[in-house]
Amino acid sequence: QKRVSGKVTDAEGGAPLPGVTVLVKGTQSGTATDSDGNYSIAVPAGSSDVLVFSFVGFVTQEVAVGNQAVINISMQADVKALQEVIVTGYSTQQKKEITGAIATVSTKELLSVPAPNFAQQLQGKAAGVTIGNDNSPGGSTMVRIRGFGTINDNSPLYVIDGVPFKSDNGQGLNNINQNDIESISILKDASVASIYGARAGNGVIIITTKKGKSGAPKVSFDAYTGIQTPRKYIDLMNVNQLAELEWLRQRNTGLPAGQTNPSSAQYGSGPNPVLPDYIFPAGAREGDPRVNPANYSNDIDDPEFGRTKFLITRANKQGTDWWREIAKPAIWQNYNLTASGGTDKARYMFSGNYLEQNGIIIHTGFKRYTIRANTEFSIRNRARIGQNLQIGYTERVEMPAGNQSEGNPVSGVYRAQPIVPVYDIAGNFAGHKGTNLGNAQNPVAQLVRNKDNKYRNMRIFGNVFAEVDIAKNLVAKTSFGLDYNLGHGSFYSIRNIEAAEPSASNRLDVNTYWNSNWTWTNTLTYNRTFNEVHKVNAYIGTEAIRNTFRDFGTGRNNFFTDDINYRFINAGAGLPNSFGGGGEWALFSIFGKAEYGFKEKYLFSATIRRDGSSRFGQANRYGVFPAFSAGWVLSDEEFLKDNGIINFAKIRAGWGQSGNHDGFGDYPAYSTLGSSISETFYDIRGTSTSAVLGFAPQSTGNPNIKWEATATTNVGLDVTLLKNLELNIDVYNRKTTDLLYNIQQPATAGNNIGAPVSIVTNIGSMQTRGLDFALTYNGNAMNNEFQYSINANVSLYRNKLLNISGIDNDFIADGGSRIGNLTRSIVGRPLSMFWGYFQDGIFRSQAEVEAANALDGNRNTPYQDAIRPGRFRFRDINGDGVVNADDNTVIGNPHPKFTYGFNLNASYKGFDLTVFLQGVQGNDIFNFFKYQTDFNVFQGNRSTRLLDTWTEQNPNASMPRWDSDNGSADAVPSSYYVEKGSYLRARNIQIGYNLPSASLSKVGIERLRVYLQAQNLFTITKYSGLDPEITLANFGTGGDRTIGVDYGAYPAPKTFLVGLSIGF
Amino acid sequence: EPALQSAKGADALLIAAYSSLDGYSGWGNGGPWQGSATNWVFGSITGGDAYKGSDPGDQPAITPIERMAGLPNNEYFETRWRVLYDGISRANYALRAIKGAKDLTDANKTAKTAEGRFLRGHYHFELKKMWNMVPYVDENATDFKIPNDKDIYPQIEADLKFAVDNLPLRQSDVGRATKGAAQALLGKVFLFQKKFNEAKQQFDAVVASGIYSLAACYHDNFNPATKNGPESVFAVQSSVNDGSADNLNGNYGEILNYPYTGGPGGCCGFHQPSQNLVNAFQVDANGLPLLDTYNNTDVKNDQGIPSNSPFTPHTGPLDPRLDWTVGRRGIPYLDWGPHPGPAWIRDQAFGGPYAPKKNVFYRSQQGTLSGASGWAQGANANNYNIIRYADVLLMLAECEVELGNLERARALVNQVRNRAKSGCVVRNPDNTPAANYRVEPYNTPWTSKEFATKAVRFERRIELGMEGHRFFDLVRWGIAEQELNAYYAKEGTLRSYLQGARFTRGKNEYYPIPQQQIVLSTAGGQPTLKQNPGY
Repeated sequence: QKRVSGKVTDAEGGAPLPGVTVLVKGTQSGTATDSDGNYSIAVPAGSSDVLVFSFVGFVTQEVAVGNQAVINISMQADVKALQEVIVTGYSTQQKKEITGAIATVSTKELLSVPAPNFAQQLQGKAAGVTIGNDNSPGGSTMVRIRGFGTINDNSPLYVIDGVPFKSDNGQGLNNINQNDIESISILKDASVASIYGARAGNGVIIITTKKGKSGAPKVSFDAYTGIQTPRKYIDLMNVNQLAELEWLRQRNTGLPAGQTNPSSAQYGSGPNPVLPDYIFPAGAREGDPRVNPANYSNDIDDPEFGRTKFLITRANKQGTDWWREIAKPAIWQNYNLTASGGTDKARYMFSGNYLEQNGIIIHTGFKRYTIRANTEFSIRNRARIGQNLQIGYTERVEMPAGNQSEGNPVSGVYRAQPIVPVYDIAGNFAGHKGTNLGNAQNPVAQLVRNKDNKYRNMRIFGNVFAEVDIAKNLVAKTSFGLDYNLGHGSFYSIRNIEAAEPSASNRLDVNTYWNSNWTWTNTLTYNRTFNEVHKVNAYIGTEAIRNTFRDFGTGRNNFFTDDINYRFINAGAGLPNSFGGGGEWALFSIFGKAEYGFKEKYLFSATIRRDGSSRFGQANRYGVFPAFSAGWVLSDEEFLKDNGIINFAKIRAGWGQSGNHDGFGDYPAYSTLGSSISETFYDIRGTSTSAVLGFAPQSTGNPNIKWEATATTNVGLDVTLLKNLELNIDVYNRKTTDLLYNIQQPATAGNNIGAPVSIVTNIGSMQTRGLDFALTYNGNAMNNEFQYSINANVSLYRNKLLNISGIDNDFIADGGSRIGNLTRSIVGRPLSMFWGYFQDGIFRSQAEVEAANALDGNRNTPYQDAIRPGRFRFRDINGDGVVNADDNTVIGNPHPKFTYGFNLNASYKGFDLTVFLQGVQGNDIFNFFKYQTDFNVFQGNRSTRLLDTWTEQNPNASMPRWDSDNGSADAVPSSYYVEKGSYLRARNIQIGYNLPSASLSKVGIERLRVYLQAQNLFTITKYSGLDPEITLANFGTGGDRTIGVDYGAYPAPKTFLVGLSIGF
Repeated sequence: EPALQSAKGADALLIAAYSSLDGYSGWGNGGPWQGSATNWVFGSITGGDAYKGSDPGDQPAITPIERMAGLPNNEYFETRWRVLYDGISRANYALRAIKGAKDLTDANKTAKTAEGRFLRGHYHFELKKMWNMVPYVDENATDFKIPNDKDIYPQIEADLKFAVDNLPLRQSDVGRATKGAAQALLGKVFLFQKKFNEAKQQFDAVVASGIYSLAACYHDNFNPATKNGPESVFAVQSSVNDGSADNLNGNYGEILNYPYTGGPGGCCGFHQPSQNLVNAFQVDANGLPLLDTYNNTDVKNDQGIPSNSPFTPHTGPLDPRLDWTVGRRGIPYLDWGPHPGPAWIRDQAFGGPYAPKKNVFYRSQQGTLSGASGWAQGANANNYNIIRYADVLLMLAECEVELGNLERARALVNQVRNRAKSGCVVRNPDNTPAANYRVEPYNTPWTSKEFATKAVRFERRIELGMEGHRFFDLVRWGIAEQELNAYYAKEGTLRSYLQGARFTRGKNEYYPIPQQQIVLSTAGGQPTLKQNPGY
């Protein structure tokens, strides 16, 4: 044994490098450099006599010790990062050796964007990865890898430290602290993802959390705080315009016989509408005895209420701007503390995080508290045991009625009338109770009353593992992971007595669920290089997963007081209504992978996995998922060696198959009967207040269903040019067969309680082809003082439903709305196309109407229903001279032509700059907002577009004739609603400054960085709605069949932050 | 399923089959209002008793149905179709379990089977009324793509005959089908086929049973406190505050049909009576209806008159049943005070001045016989009478007219009119009648079949107004085209969206088979279901 010491420095600039790992090759014996870059290590006799120096971001070096006692090393920054080690599943691989399509995103890139979860931070960062989120604090995130592979849930599988989970609505990502992430690998194609078999059909995102490194403890503290502001306001009518519009409607509709002027409970009955002084009592004027404050009452159960007693409410003649009432600047803050360190025998990492994101919609918000502890112990250089554990607790207050709904406050902004003030004369919430005001709720009241309705979630996520070096090249590992979620919601509703359609009582609903998921994984890994040219890396393994889920809840009416201290079920007087359920599923898998590399030039990989799922019947319980890939490093061939242009080139090709077993509950193979108080019980005894239990069929199973199988072929090219320009291109063809779909049966087959009988069946196939392109350039100037990197990525996919055989029509309709289904997934087309009429302008005149009527050869048959001058003209697609249901067609496509991201990172001396632009090009949005704002439906506020409606005097108007029939005749699904959805958004602009280390070290600080950041600083779009970032209308199974419909979505804020990062 | 092949299990399945009577069997089938047992859209609105009402933008799918332009993809058709076949499916589950139940005696099996077959017959008859050509599903069906190429009246008759033969006259549970219910329903099935002799036989049996009589007060039929009275032959039982979170076991099919922003229910101003219906309650000096001229002058209404302006209701003589059927300005709305006009109407310019009334509960019943939860609070324990005794009497009167027994018909009609005369009328708080009420029996013998037919039909309209029968009656009488086209012409001057509406003979007698169901019936590339003519 001998001792070697020395100093490690950075080849560029010569600064000492602390934390460099120094290992005696082939052993577990190692150390790390101290804060001055010094190390000292004992080299055992009979060992390989070679030291390995490795450090993230630098080229690993091996040095033969020989007789040297002092070895000083200067390390080269690894710009190309080809040696980077990437987690590819149950093992790791050097980037150079990878043969599949894997994207990685560095922690730094990830954390440069403030967001409550890592998935939102991935947006625009990796080619082929599409992220959408619902913008509400703690809300859902859509993660789609390479478009859409199934008509069901397309969310990927997540694996954190070896523990897999699915998060179909993406909310499960919010309680993972992304500051703990060391690396993210995104397995995009099946040749790499297939190792996860049955759950990998939509790709896999592998996350490794930070581990302690040997060396002195390191502590870092990161904080940012800032303000989010609403980005955009919408143009709605003022009080006078709205009143005039009502008069126009009545005149155009035709006044009843004997009536000469329009009339309204609010605006009187004269030639012109007259704004009232009070809206409740409807239309009252100052001096009306009814508006004497003595007549104020909020007891709506009083027989005199509405006759002599009123919620007296003044008209707001200036108009209430409801959007400004509910959208206010909101605070966002995040604090993260990490400590790590260790020795070569034991390493630890600990972190704590607090994140608070308040929403720009008042009284919405999200809070998260997490703590993490990761430890690892080495035992006699042969074995390692350790654990990773995070405990996360979150609290969320969501918009009442949820995102993307006509009942939520965002929709309330245009459904509420501007003449309604926020408060009545007594300071209570005002509402639409006065006549002829529509049925909107007061959005402020909705939000204020909802402010204490929290959803709380506790998640315990982690694993324990043990790893033993059985022989020189053989490692056995076992890991037991747990993902335990406990959720509790408590929702109290205060009576909205001021509303036009008030609820009859106050009510409390509480619900609780727990979901326990354990994963036990065992692997045996063999690594060896034969004769220095044949490199073999192989493993086999087993994995068992079991999931148990239970939920229950109860609700009760009639609470004596709305006091927050009495919001417990026991305090209610009404009969409680309860529900409860549960389910279980299990997977058992065996799998293996073999990689072979010849001279690191010819690379081959093969994997196979066999999964058994409890969700399928005996006949198809097991599925086998194989994959193969190969790579050829061209640049290692003689003909390309040492040319000055191409530094590295590799072509890759792979094929693999993976599966999907999610989205249809835990028992799709089985039929059951059940009962439900509302749907099967009946008051057979005529008691009026009780019902007798009844039983009815509840589910109809299909014992023959099997996995959805996704086969992907991928061809890729990785090139490094001129040392600094890295290019990655992947093209792929993804085909899913045996698509699962819950096929609705004819009604003659009856119901499963509450809905038509439907049977999960393998029905068809779908294809997605696409291209991922990424380009990175690293440059520097001014003697390395100015460094920069530019990264651009572009992704495109083309999705097509190939066939759906089990259902005998060639489409699946979705996107339900008040005017019917808005989307169709049609054979031969992409998922979720918009469906309706093409709107070709407006019938300008009676002559145009008559000409259209005559198109079918018969002037007496109308061209379209309710035809008249001023109506929208819809296109006769099939050319039969009449417009009917057969003329509905595809009117829009929610899928972008391409998506892109552009990142610029630059640093000069202590300053750094990050600019991140992200965009979507060529998609359409179905702006369902317009249903309520642009047509005569309900009595809400209207778009200022309606200042230009058709009349005989204004035949060239942009909007149709304004009358009562407009709501049924013109508001039907048509291309009128469809708008261009392209946008370019300055997702992030950040300027940072690193304080000089010399002065910091005097006060014991290693590094200190401060930064300013603007998020969503600008958005370039033609979309007229609040926000062009419209993804899914709902995030559950089947949500992917309604893409790009804006039903009232939470808009993204503009955010300004100031941050601090400090290291000790 | 085998677990339920016991007396208890079979009865639980049967209860679920009854549970579908209200036309609601889960939101997944569509809104409860779409499938409602009361046929407020398919019988009452389309028959000219009422307008869609409310606001043009709420439930826009009703408007084309009202205009006789409902397309096969209209969700209302789809929902009604689904809930009816759900009832049939549940009845068939019950029938199979009854057959397999080892702890049931043969006699009990027969009695239970009769209940199941009664329900199955009822559901099929509702389908038959709506769509004419519909599939019949029995308990042995395994392939549910069943063609609609046959008249299913023979199967309906067979089910109901079995029920007539095997049901008891009285059941210990008031909600269960009885022999009388089966006879009345079978009689109605015969009547729809113009089998007047057979129909009369059944109705006579109901009358002869002595079990039924007209309630003393007409309104007892529409009051949750007096439901299941002597007049109720077969009814959908409603319950509230029974543990169902949203009171979906109440009369939820009517949940939209309450006054707006005031009064009971809190939602949503639909099913507003038409001026035409209101006019039908005008009587002459003798208290007899204006059979031919009722629509020449309108009953006075408060269209366009704000709630705080003075208004005096119509002073001419009116049948008192009007104010139990229609809510109108100035007349007490049960015990909710006088209807204030526009203050309770969602959009008077669109839906007119009237409000429905037969589905409404009393203020004094609020919270006990009405539910109190969620967005709408109108659900109450009011039953919907699928058949009430007055209906039986008037159907019998029709048979007698057709068979030439005009005086018997007059006596039956007078029985109904005398109840209206001697029974309760709407009264002001000071106990004075709320309007100039007058109703008298026909005191002159009927000698003309034509007149008798007209009088019986007219009586049926005013006695059963707003109860979902009108459209089906007009169709089976063969007068839908003339009646409805005249109705659109006149009402179109009040409700502009009715302008241009048209009933087409040979098409609009039946509704279109739901498109979705035609698609779902596809087997071997061809739909099993065939669309009705004209669609």
